[in-house]
Amino acid sequence: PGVRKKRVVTTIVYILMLFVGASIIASIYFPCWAGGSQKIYTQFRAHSNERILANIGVDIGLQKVNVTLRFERLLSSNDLLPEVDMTKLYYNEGFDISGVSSMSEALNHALTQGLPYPMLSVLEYFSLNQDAFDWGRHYRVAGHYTNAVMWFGFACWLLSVILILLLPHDAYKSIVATGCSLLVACLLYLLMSPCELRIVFTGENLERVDLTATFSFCFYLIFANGILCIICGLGLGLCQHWRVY
Amino acid sequence: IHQNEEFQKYDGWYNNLANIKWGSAGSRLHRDAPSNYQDGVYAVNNSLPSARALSNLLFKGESGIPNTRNVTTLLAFFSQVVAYEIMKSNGVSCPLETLRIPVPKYDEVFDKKGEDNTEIPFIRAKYDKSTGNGLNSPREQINEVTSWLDGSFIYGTSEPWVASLRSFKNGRLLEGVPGYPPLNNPHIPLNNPAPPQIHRLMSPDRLFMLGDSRVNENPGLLSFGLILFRWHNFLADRINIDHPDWTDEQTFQAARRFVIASLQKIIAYDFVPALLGGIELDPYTKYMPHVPPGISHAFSAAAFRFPHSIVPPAMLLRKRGKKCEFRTEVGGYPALRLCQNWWNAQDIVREYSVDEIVLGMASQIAERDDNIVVEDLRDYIFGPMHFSRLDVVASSIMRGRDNGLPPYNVLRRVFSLEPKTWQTINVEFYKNHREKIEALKELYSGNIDALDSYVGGMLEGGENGPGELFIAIIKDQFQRIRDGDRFWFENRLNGLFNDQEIENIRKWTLRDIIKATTDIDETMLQKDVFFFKEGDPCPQPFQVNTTNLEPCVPFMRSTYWTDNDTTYVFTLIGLICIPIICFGIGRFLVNRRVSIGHHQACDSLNTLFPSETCSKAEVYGVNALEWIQEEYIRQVRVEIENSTMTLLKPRGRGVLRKLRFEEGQKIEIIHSIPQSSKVHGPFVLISQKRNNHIVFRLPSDYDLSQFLENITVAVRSVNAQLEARSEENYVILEHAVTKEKRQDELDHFFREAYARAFDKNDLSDGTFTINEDDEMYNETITREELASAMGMRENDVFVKRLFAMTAKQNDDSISFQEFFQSLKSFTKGTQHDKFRQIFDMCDTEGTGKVLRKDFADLIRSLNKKAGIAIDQTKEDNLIRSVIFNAGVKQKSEYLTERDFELIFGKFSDDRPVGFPVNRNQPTSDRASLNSFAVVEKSTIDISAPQTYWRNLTAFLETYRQHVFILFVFYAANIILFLERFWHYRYMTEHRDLRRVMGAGIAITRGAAGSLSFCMALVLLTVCRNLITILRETVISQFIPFDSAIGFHKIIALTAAFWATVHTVGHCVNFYHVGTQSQEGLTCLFQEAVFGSNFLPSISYWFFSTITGLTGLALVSVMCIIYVFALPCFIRRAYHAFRLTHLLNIAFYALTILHGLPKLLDSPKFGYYILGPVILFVFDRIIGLMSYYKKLDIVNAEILPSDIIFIEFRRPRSFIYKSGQWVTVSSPAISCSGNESHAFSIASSPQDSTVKLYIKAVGPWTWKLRSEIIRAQTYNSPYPLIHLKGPYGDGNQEWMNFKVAVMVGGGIGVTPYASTLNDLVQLTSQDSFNRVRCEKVYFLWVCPSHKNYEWFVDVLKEVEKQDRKGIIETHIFVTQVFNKFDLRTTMLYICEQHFRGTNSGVSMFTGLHAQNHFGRPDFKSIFRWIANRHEDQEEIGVFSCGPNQLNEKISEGCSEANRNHATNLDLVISENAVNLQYDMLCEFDHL
Ligand SMILES: Cc1cc2nc3c(=O)[nH]c(=O)nc-3n(C[C@H](O)[C@H](O)[C@H](O)COP(=O)(O)OP(=O)(O)OC[C@H]3O[C@@H](n4cnc5c(N)ncnc54)[C@H](O)[C@@H]3O)c2cc1C
Ligand code: HEM
Ligand code: HEM
Repeated sequence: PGVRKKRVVTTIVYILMLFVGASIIASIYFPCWAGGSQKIYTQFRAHSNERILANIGVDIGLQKVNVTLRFERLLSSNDLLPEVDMTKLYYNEGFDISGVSSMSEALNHALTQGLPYPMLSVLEYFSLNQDAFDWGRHYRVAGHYTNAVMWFGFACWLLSVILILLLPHDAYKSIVATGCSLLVACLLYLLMSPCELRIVFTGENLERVDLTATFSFCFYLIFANGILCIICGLGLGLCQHWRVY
Repeated sequence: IHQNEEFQKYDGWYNNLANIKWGSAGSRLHRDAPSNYQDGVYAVNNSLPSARALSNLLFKGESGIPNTRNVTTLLAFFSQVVAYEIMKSNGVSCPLETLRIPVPKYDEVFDKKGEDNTEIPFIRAKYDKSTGNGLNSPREQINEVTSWLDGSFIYGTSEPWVASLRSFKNGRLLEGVPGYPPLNNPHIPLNNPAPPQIHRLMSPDRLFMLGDSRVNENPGLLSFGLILFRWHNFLADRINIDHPDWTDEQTFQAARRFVIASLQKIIAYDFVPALLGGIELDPYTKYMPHVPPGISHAFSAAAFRFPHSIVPPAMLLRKRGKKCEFRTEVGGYPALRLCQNWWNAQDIVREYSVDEIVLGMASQIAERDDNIVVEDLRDYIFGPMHFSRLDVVASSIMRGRDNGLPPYNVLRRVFSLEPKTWQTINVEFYKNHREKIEALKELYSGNIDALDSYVGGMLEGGENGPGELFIAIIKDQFQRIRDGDRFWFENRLNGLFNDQEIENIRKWTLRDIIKATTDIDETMLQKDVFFFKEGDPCPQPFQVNTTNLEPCVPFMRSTYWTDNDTTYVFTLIGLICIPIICFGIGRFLVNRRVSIGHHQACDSLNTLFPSETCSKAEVYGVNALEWIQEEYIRQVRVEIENSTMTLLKPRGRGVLRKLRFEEGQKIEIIHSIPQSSKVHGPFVLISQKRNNHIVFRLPSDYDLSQFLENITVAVRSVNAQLEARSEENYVILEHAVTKEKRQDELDHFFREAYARAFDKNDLSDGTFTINEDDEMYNETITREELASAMGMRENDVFVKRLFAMTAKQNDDSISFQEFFQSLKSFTKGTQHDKFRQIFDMCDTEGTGKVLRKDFADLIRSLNKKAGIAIDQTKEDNLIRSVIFNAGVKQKSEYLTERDFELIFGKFSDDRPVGFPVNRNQPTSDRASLNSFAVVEKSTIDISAPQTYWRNLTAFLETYRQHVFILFVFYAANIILFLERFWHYRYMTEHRDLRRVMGAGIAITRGAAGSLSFCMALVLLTVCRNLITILRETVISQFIPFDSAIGFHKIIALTAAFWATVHTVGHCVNFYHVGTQSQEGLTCLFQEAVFGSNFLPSISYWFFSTITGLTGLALVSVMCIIYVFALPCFIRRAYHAFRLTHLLNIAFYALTILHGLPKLLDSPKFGYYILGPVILFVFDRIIGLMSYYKKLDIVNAEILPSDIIFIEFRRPRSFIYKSGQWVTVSSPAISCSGNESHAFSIASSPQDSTVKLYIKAVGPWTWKLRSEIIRAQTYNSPYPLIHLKGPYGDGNQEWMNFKVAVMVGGGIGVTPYASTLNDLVQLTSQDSFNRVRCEKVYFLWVCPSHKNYEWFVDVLKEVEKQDRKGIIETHIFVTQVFNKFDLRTTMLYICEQHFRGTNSGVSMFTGLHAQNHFGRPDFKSIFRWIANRHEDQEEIGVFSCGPNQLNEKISEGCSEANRNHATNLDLVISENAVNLQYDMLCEFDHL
C-alpha cells in the first residue's frame, strides 16, 4: 500500500536498499576489510644485492587476502647481474585464506613461483598457524564467521527487498534485521581479527617500519550500512506506527 | 663485510640457482641410498626384530665408561646443536601413524612386573604428501629446518620468528635480563612437552625465546643457545662500533653473517674432525652448485645419532674463577642428572648460569664412543604424556625403518664399503661379546642383510669414534652442505667477505665464542674445548656415572581421559535427563490446566465469580465456579435451602443442578486444604450416591467455612450423614467423577455389554472374559444414565418402563448382569420373546392387555428425544396409522399380544432393521443398500495369507502415492547416509578422523547428512500456502498433499532417529577424542589451535566449543519440541505445543551454528536447507499477503453442542474454494500471543460473508464462545477477527470426480456445508461449470440430529436447490445403538410410516435424506456404491471427521478396492486430525 502515494519515502528506501545490497555483496567478495600499505626498502630477488624502494600493501578480506607490490625506484645495485627493468613492476596477487592450510599452500606455491621477497614475507605471516603466529588463522576465523553473518545479512536484505515489493508494511522488520546482522558482522570482525599484525620491513630511511593492518573500507562501509539500515528500518516502523507511511 | 650484501633468506630458499628449493625448510630429505619400505612405497618393515629388544641387547650397559679419546661432554652437547641447526625431521605427520614397539617381557624399565603387554609408541615422521604413492616415489620425510649452516638454530627459519627475537635496535637480538633472551610470554611456537619428571603440562612462559623450537630441552643445549645468542649481540655491538652509521637492519644482517660464518667454520673444520676421530673434510675448493645439500636419510636417521653414545648421564657444574672448583651439591647430588631435567633447562641455566655449565662440560669427559647409551637417553628420555619415558635407541632404530633406510650392508655398499658379516662388523666387540652378536644374529634370524643400518653402524664404533660407515655418511653430508652452499663463508663468489675477513673467520674457534660471551677466563678453558688433554686446566673430579645420582622418575602412563570421567558421566546423565525433564514440564502444564480448569490468562470471563448478591435473604447462597471438565468452568450460584442444594445459573436464570438430601443418605464432601492456594479459592467436591460429583470453587476460605456450616445444617435436618474431609487440590480433581469421566465408564459399560451379548469382540475394550472380579460386574447404572445413553430423558415413559423391567434387584439401579440379561433376551430370543418383552413393558398393570394410550405414549416418548421435527397432531396420526396399517382393529381400547405381533411381525429376523427405503430403487439394489447401516459379519471368507496379500495390494492401491513418496524419502535418507558413511569410512582420510573415531565418525556424519536432509524436507511439508497453490496443478496427481502433516510427522520422527544416532555417536566419538594426546589432537582438529600447555578435556569439547554447546542446546531444543509434539500434549496442551514449535527457528539457527566452526569438516547443512528455507520464507510471505485484519463479525450464534456460529465480512480479495479452511485469530480472545486456529469454511464461495461453525473444545474456542455470549447479553460489539488463508484441503477436489462420496463426522461436516452448497449452486445454473460430478453421496454421521440442527437447515437448503438430484444424503444417527436396539426398531417403524404419508420426508429432519440408526458400515456402503457405479474408473471418497471414523473409512475403501474394478480414491481432510470421535458421547452443556 502506498507505493504510489508515498513516492518520496519509497524512492529513498529503494535507493537505500540497492546501495546496501551492493555494499554487502562487494564486502563479501572484495578483500577490503582490513589492510595497510607501506613504503619499504627491500631486496626483491636472490643472487643480487640490488635494493629497491617499493610499496607493499596487504588487503584482507573475508576469504581472501590481496598482496600488492609496486616498484618505486632502484636504490642501489652493484653486482654483476644484468639489470632488469622493473619500472612497470606491479604485483597484485590474491590468496585464499579460507582453509586451514590454504595459506601455507599459497606460500609454498608463491615460493616456487618465485614472487618477490617482500610478498613472501607477507605471506609467511599469514601462513603460520601456531601459537602466537596465528595472524592468518585469526583473519581466517574472523572472516569465516563474519562471512556467515554477512550472508545472513544478505538473506535479510533479499527478504527486505521482496517484502518492500510485496508487503511494504512488514519490510521494516527485516530491514532492521539486516542492519543488526551487519553490525554483528562488524562486531565479530572487530573481536576476532588479530589486534596486532605487524609485518616488519625496512623503511625508506633504513629504519624499521611495520606494515600494520587496520580496519579498512569494507569494515566501515558495512558498519555505516548497518547503522543506516537500523535507522531506516526504525524510521519506517515509526512512520507506520504514526500512519505516515 | 658491506652494508648491502645479498640477503640470505631465513627459510633457505633460492640458495641454489637451478634448484631453488634445495636446502630450504620443509624440503624433502635427500635420498642417497635406495629406500627399503616393505611394500616399496611407504610401509614399515614389520618383520624386523623389536627395536626395544635390540636396544636392550646391544645398547644397554654401565655408564661412566670414560671416552678413550678424551672427548668432552661439550662435544656431545655441541653435536646436538649441530644436529638441530641442520635438521628437524621428526615432526608429526597427519593423520597420525603410530607404530608400537613391543617391549620384551620383564624389561627393566617398561615392564617391571612382567605383564608382557607394554608397547612403546612411535609416531611416524612428517613426510611430503606428494610422495609415498607409487613405487618410484617412495615416502620421503621432510626436513623442517634449513639444511644449510645458516644459523637457523639462532634465528629460526621464518621471518615472524626472527622478528619476534629481534630488538630492532643496533642490530641486536632482544634481551630479557641482560645476557638472556626474553621468556616466551608471547607464546611463539616453542616445543613444550610435559617434562616427564613432573608429568604435567607446564606453561610455555617459562621457556627462553630462541631461534630453535627445541632449544630448551636440556641445560647443555640451552647453554649453547644462549652463547650463540650472546655471540650475535657481541658481534652486533662490534659492528656498531666499527660502523656507527649503519642502521639496525644492516648491523643485524652483518652480525648474522658473522655468526653464520663462525658457525660454519667451527662446525665444518673443528667439530666434524673432533667427532669423527680426526677425519677432516676435504679442503674447500669452490662453490659447487650441482651438489645437493639436503640432509640424507642415512645421516638423519642413523649416522648423526652416533653422538648419543657419548652423552653422559649427568652434567658436572664447575664454578667460575681460577680455582677449579666443581659444584658438589646440585640439588643434593654431585651432578645434574639429565633425565630429571628435560624441558626444565631454563631453571638450571638461570640458577647456575651458562658459565658453570659450559665450564663443567669442558672439563667433563664424555662417555665412550661405543655401542652403550646411558639410561638417561635409553630408558628415560622424555615422551608423550601417556608414555612419559621413551628409548632414544629404539626410536632411532624405528626412525630408520620409518624413513625406509636400507639395511646395513646395502648402505655400506652405497658408500663404497664392502659388506660385513656378523663376525666382522666389529671384530673387537665380537671377541668380547660374542654372545651378544649371536643373540643379535638370532633376532635377525641370521640374516645379516636385514640388519638395521643404525644398529650396524653403532656397533662399528670404537676407540676412534664412529665406525667407517658413519664416518663416510657424516663426512659426505657436511661436505655437501659446505660445497653446495652459495653463502658459504669461503665462497668468494658471493661477495660476502673479503679475504681478510675469511682469514679471520678461519681462526675463530668455539673457545673464542665462549670467551666472548661468558665471564670465563682464558686460563680456565683448554684450547680445544672438544677434548680434554693432558695439562688442560681443571680436570673433572670423577667420571660421572649413575650410582650416586638422583634416580630418574620412572616412566608413567596416563590416559588423557582420567580427569574427564566425572564430566563425561554427568554430561551424559544430563543429556538423558533432558527429555525426562521436558516430559515432566509437559505433565505439569497439563496438570495445571486440569486443576485450574482453564488457561489462567484466559480466565477473564469464565472464571470471574458472579457478582450479584443473594436474592432471598433467608437462603444461604454463595457465588462459585463450577468445574465441569478440564477446559470448562462455569459461573454458578450455589444455594442451600432446607434440604436441597441448588446450582443456579448466574443472574438467576434457571436451575442447573439440584441436589436433594434424603434421609439416611451419606453425603461426602471433600474440600481443599484451607489456605492451599493464594490465587484460587478452595475447591469443594460433593458426592451423593448415584450422582456425578459436583465440584466447584468458592471465592475464599471464609466462604468455605460458611458453606460447610450451612450444608451441615441442611443435611442434619433430614437425618442424613455428612462426611467432610480435606485433600490436596489435585487429589480432589483426580477423584472427581465428572460427567465426562462417568461417560467414559458408561461407554465402557455399554460396549462391554453389547460385546458380550452379540459376541462382537471388536466392540469390547479389553479382554473378553467374564470375570467375577471384573470391575464391570460391580458397576451399576442409574436410570438417568440409561436414559442418556439411549438419548432419552429419565422421565420418558419408555425409559421408565424399560428400567423397571430390567432392574430386578434394586429398583434404582441396574447392574451389569441385569442389563446383560435383558439385552440377551432381546437378541438371542425368538421373535416371539421380543414381542413379549415389549408387551411386558407396555403392560404396566400386568393385566395382559395394553392400553392403546400407553402404547402411544411409549412411542411418543421415543420420538421426542430423537429430535422429531413434526407436531403433535401429525404424530398422533402417525401412531394411529401405524396401528391401523398393522391390521389392528381401530376401535379396541386395548392391544393384545397378538396385535403386537401384527405390528412388529412385518420385520422378520433376516430383515435387518436400520435401512433407508428409496422408492425409486430397484429391489435388488435395496437389498444391498439395506444392510449398510449395520455392522455385519463379513461374508467373504478367505484364507488368511491370501487376505494379507489382498489387504496389502489394496492398501498399496489406495496409498500408492504415499508409499511411493515414503519410499523415495527413505531411499534418499539411506543413500545420503551411505554416501557420507562411505566417504568417511573408505574414501579420503585427510585427517585423523578415522584412526581416532573409527566407524563412529562415518556413522555420525552419515546421520548428520540424513538429518540435514530431513530437516530441510520437513520445512517443505509445512508450506501450506505453496501446497494450496500446488494442489491446483498437475503435481497434485503425484504428491498426496493432504498427508502433508502426516508426512511432516514421519520426517520429524526420522529426523529424531538420526539425531539420536548422531548424538550418541558423537558422545562416543568425543570419548575417543578425550583420550587423544596433543599430537593426535593437532591432527584431528586443525581448525582449533591450542596452547602448548593446554590439553582439551571433555568439558572443553562439550562446553567450550560452539559445536559442543550448540549440540547440547540442540538436544534440549529437540527434546522440548518433540515432547510437546507428543499426541497427549498436543491434545491437552495445544498451546504449549504451538509455543514450543516456535523453537524451530532456534533449532535451525543452532544447527547452522553447530556446523559453523568446521570442527571436523566443513559444514554442509546450509546447502541442504537453502532451497527449502527460501520456499518456506516465500510461503510465509504468501501467508502474510493473505492475512486479513480486523474483520467484523456480522452475525454470531450459540448453537447446541457447544457449537458457535460466526459469520463475518468477507474481504474483497479473499477468494476460496469450497472445502478449504482458514486460520482465525483474534487479539481479544488470544490467551497469549495472537494464536490462530484452523477452521473450515462453511459458506460457499458464492456467499458474501464467511461462515464458520466452531465447536468449543479448548481454551480458545471456549473463550470465543464466552465472548460471543457476552457480546450478545450486553449488546456490545463482537470481537474483531483476523483471518489467514485460505488453505487447501483434500475436500476441495470433489469436483474432479464424477462420483464422489463425502463423509462428515461430528463437527467435520462444516466443510461440506460449503461444498454441498457450492455444488448445487454450480450445477443448478445451466451454464458451463467445472463440476464433473454426476452423483454425490453425502454420508453424515452424527450422534443425533438435534445437535446439528443448523446443518439440517443447510441440508434443507441444499435439497431445495438440488433439482437434478445429484446429491444423495444418508444420515447416520449414532446415538441409538444399532439394529438390536428396541428403540431403534420402534423409531424405524415410525419413520417408515411417516415417510410413507409425507412423500418421503423424514419425520426427524424434514429432509428427504435417508436416516439410518447406528454406525455406518463403510465396507458394505462402499461395496454397494462401487457396484452401482461400475462404469466409473474412479470414485472420490472424501472424509472429514474423527480419527476412528477415518480409519473405518479407509478400511472400507481398501476392502472395496480389493473387490472392484472401480477405484476409490480416498481423501482424508486435514481437519480430521484433531476431532474426537463423538459417536456415543456427545452431550449438551447448555
Ligand atoms: C484444517 C482444520 C479445519 C478445522 N475446522 C474446524 C471447524 O470447521 N470447526 C471446528 O469447530 N473446528 C475445526 N477444527 C479444529 C479446531 O482448529 C480446534 O478445535 C481449535 O483450534 C481448538 O482450539 P482451542 O484453543 O479451543 O483448544 P485446545 O485446548 O487448544 O485444543 C483442543 C483440541 O483441539 C486441537 N487443536 C487446537 N488447536 C488446533 C489447531 N489450530 N489446529 C488443529 N487442531 C487444533 C488440539 O489438538 C486439541 O486436541 C479444524 C482444524 C483443522 C486443522
Ligand atoms: C524436526 C522437528 C520438527 C520441525 C523442524 C518442525 C517444524 C514445523 C514447522 C516449521 C511448522 C509450521 C509451524 C507453523 O505453521 O506455525 C510445523 C507445524 C507442525 N508440526 Fe512440526 N516440526 C517438527 C517436529 C514435529 C513433530 C515431532 C510433530 C508431531 C508429531 C510435529 C507436528 C506438527 C504439526 C501438527 C504442525 C501443524 C501445527 C499447526 O499448523 O498448527 N512437528 N512444524
Ligand atoms: C551433544 C550433542 C552433539 C554433539 C557433540 C555434536 C557434534 C557434532 C560434530 C562434532 C559435528 C561435526 C561438525 C563439523 O563438521 O564441524 C556435528 C555435525 C552436525 N550435527 Fe551435531 N552434535 C550433537 C548434537 C546434534 C543434534 C541434537 C543435532 C540435531 C539437529 C545435530 C545436528 C548436526 C548436523 C545437522 C551436523 C552437520 C552440520 C553440517 O554439516 O553443517 N547435532 N555435530
